[in-house]
Amino acid sequence: MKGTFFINGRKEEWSFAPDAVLLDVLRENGRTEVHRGCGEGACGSCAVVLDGALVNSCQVFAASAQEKEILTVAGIGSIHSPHPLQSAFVETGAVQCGFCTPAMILAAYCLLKKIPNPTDDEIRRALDGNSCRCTGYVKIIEAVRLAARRMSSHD
Amino acid sequence: MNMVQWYFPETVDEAVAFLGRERTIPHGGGTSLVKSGISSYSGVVDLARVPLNYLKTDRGILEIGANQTFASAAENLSNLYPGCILASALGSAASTPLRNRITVGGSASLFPLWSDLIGPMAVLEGEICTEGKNAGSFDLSTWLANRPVQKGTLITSLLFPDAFDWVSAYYREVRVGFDYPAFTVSVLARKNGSMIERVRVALSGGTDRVTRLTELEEALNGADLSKVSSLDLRKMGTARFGRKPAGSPEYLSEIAAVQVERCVKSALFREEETR
Repeated sequence: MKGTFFINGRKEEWSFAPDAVLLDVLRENGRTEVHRGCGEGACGSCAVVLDGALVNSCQVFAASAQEKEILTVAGIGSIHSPHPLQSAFVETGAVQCGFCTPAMILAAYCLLKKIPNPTDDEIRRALDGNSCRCTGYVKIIEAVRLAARRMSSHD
Repeated sequence: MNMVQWYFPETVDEAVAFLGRERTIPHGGGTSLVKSGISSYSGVVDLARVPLNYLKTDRGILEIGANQTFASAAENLSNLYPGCILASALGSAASTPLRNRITVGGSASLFPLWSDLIGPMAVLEGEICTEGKNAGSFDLSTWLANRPVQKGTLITSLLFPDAFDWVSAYYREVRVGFDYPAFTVSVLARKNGSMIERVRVALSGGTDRVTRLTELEEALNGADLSKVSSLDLRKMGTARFGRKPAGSPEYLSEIAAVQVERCVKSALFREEETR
């Protein structure tokens, strides 16, 4: 089947199988910043923002995501113009192997959209679907705190 | 090769019409169908455009539209009725990205263990409202016992006739937050001074999917709080379990009984009046 998707503000027409999940369709069409982890909705590596809500793209049928706004980590900043969250992750050492980082940043992005100055508990809760096997989360939480402070001071 | 046809209805009537077709299944947006696969079906009805994404109260009756996600329902309920057992349960299920997809209607269709909905449904004595071939409203036990009733039928909402003004306690047995719970304990209580007016207790995850602990409820209903210490709450809170990754039947039965006792005491002896 064919469908229209709005990826990082760009309209795309893609073909996909009726039972394809969004993760596969994104990666087959070059969006490899969306990572394939467990494939069961447990690790969160494949998270994207679908119509404003963080979702595991491995648990969303591509057919269900047609005509919707999909945001990947490439849509919030670039190496030349990074989002404050991306800078904060680098500066605090919250990136080690980097596999979980795109989804972790999107989870934090959704949190800060909703709660600009979150408590540590709110940060932990917002990241509860994202596993990191390297950092132990301490640096990640520090990065979210730092980004929140910087983004608030720019408001 | 079986090519599954997707349908995107915009009204309940359209959705019901599609569901009347052979081997056609509704999809609210959650994970059950992704996990089980759709290759054995000829059609999938995507419900996202059907206007069932609401939560409303009218004279104490709570109605949650089938398309409300767990995240939305938990947030709406937390704002309206802080401490409501449904908000606690739905807000702690699975993880943030999954709560953003799992809908109450989809969860009520299968009541998978990871939904966290079944315990609160049991104690709140909620009803499942449907349209289509078997239109009507169903209590939980009727619904669970009669799976074929769902064929050609659309869940439109969950109705809770007596959802508020309870003190509640909810417990889910997990190692880490996003685990599937090995069991859940749901407790509602109403007191008048030191008198226990009404207690409802449900345990999910045992050999029965959900059990109302009626012996415990009967022992507490109408009793004075001072009598609670003389009751063997653990014994009355004991249920049978099968073997699970989380532990042996004996272990799970024992810790579930402990948590039943804790939740009941928490609800009965809590000072602040939450919902």
